[in-house]
Amino acid sequence: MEAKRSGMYSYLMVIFSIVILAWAVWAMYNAFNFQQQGNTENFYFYAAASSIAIVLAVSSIMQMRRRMLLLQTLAVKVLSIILCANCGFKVVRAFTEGDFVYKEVGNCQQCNGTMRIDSIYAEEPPKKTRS
Amino acid sequence: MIFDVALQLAPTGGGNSLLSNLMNLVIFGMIFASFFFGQQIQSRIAILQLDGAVRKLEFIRSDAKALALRTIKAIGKPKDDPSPALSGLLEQFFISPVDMDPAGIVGKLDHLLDVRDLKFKADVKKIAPEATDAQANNLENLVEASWALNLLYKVVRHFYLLGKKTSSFYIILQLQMLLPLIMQEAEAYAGAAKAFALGQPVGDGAGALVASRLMRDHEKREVDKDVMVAETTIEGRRVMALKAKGPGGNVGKPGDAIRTLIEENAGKVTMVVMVDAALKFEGEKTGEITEGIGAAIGGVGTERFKIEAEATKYKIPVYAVIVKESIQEAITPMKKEIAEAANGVIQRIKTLIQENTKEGDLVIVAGIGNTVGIAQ
Repeated sequence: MEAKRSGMYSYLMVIFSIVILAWAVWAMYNAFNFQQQGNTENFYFYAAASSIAIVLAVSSIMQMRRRMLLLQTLAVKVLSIILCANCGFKVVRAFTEGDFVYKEVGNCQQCNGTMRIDSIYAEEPPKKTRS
Repeated sequence: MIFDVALQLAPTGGGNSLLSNLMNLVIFGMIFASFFFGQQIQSRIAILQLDGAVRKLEFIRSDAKALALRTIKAIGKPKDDPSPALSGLLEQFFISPVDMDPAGIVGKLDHLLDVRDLKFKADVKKIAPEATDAQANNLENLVEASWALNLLYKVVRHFYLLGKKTSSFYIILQLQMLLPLIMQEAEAYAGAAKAFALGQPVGDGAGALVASRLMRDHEKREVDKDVMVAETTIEGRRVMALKAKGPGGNVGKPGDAIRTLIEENAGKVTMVVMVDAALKFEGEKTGEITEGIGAAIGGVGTERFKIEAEATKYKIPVYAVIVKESIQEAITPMKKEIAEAANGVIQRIKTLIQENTKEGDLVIVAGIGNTVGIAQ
């Protein structure tokens, strides 16, 4: 629940930063126009404001990116892999408290053999590949 | 607002307005300030960063303590409030033996570690009377993770306050330089606390997992305190596989166990193979398996000393097979790559045994590491 709220906050911050960045680009464009018109005061104002906004927005986006990467690592799922000693029937389910490797967890649905937890491991969410 | 005033002051057009002069003045002022007050400015920025880190560490520490308290109450069902006793446990310390005269220091250190271990176990059992042995071991590990976080927080806070008090740029700078590593370690301990509270296998258990695979479906016995052994056969060789007693969080004393097994067999052991998780370098793949020579075991060195002494006494070669992982991966829930490396390690052990021994020989395979969540 907390991770979800934290993730939501990060997304909102990123959206806000993108809006600021867009304004900064517009302000920079205006600054160049003012410079060409010879309006030095407006040029200084827009150039300074735009530079500050770009730095703040980029730093905020970078920070949120780091935060989101951290949240992704916290969202690691721990799985229990259950195997039938007789027929090799495999069940993968989320780890529950009390699970341990080689714990007997009932009978096989296929051959009625003993099902045991073969391994327990943490699986990271699949990484997005860049095309 | 400031800009509006400045714009009103400025004459229109041209580059030599009052505003541009002001801007030039500000830039020169900044260059001047950076020349003469650069270090102070840098210190202030570092202090701000450290302040945030200390707050974060305090939060992580409190979170781990709260988790330990909740788990103790849920599992141990204590009659009285365990908070004061837990706070006392988190403040415990250990004094290493004096090393001015190093002769016999390993024995002294081993004895002190035994006393600490027994005291810690007894204290945990006292505040969690209903916990089973395995649960008590997990609780002990959980309290140890909270203890480590408490210590980390106190050390960082100490240097932060000291740096602030003395305005020492170099104390602040050193702490700031180490901060990313410290925070990584703190986050790893926080992950470890969660894993121990739930009894999930951690990356350090790679060796224990390999030994448990070899021991599966064979008769087991407790060879030494908290160490289990089972005899199996690989390619016609007798193999004695040992690991710490699971599934509670435990590392046992494999040094004592290996010594006992060698003595039981009058030194007629052809080879000792030790399997452990080992730290990888940045850039190396998690779960990579490599081989080497020597006793692969961490800790303060007392167990390694015993194994080396016994192996030297009977001229037994000691081989090491390691599974590479980072320090964070070693104490957080075991990653898929590490769990899957177990079968690869068994293949390596088979190859080692085939190449270096003959049929009928006796080989000891020691699975080293914390066995939380791994039975035998």
